[in-house]
Amino acid sequence: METGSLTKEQLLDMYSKMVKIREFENQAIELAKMNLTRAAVHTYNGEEAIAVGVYASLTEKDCISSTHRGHGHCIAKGADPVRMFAELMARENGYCKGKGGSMHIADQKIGILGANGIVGGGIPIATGAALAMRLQKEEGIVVCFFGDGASNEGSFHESLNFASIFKLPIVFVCENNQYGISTHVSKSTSAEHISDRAIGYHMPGRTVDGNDIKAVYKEFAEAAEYARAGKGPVLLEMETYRLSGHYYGDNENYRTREEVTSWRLKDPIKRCREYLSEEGVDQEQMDAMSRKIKEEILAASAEAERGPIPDPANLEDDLYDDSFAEIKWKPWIKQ
Amino acid sequence: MRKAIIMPKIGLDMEEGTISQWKKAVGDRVEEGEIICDIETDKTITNLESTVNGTLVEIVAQEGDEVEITKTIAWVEVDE
Repeated sequence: METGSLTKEQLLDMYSKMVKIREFENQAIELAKMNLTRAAVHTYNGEEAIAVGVYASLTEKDCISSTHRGHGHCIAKGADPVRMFAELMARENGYCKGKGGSMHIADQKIGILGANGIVGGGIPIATGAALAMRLQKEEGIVVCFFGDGASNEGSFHESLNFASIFKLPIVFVCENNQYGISTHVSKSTSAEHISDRAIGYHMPGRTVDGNDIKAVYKEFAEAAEYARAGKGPVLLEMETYRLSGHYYGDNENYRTREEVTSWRLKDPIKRCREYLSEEGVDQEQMDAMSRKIKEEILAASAEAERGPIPDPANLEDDLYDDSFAEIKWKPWIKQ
Repeated sequence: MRKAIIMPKIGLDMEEGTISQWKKAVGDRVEEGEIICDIETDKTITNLESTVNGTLVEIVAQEGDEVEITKTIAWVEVDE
């Protein structure tokens, strides 16, 4: 089978993962509306093909760094939705015992180095992890996810330069969803394509239709093969669009409903269903899969909600530096 | 099945919101993603979209009413 071609079974698996991410995010929005989440919730709606298309070429030894919009990356890599929902709702059964929230989900056992609330913050971490793999002669590659806004941060440029000099096993995956909060990429970015910036760091760079699961899979599979072969880093720019606002509650007054509607027609899940139809999978089968996934997600959310609320007495536990304990926390604890 | 539409918590500090305009009337069809009403907070006006397909069967909060977050503002009879 040539690189990049997908069987019906693989496509069905990818479809189910994309739906799982979408349903997780839709439920996360519902929890935010119901005042059950703490801190902002940035959803991945419309970008699912990227995380899912990338993971299809990863092994257990590979690591990822994620962003403030990281739920999709975590679910695709196999994170537990119950612990994720619990973290969003600040419950003790969450990934960070309810102290981190949506933007700090990490699970090193399955290679999730961590989401990151700082734009561009994950890029040097991923590059450092790739350097560690190289120095410790470990198998595996690192995938570094970041957005269009992060590609204008110094950390992006320094990391790409560093990774290229040492030919580190890393694929930089830029999710260009067109907006950094409310600023369109054309107003913030000097390059015509973010992938053009690869030239400056002497690495291959490609722009990919990030809403097309087949294109993402094919291009990433090739990039991963290149990085695994020790040839060095690759920069992939995935063109996509976030169908929801920057966070739940964003009034989106910087873009028109017509623009959003035009991208809804390019919804990656819709596109995947068209591919499955071509493979002879009927609509009823896909609908039944989607319904089952939705039920599982709602059950995970309910289970997470039953988790205990963290005890304020444990607030100072798990700190790297306990000199912070001198700070008077009490005024910030809401009873 | 009847599903409650609640006053959503939109901003991180939001405690209540005002129904500025109903875009749907009792008896109207609502589709997923369609705007049901506009909600005004101290910061902005936001479109509230339906998350289900169904029929709007009851409006609890009228235009101009200030409603605490998570309280029911309307009911939708969801399609089977």
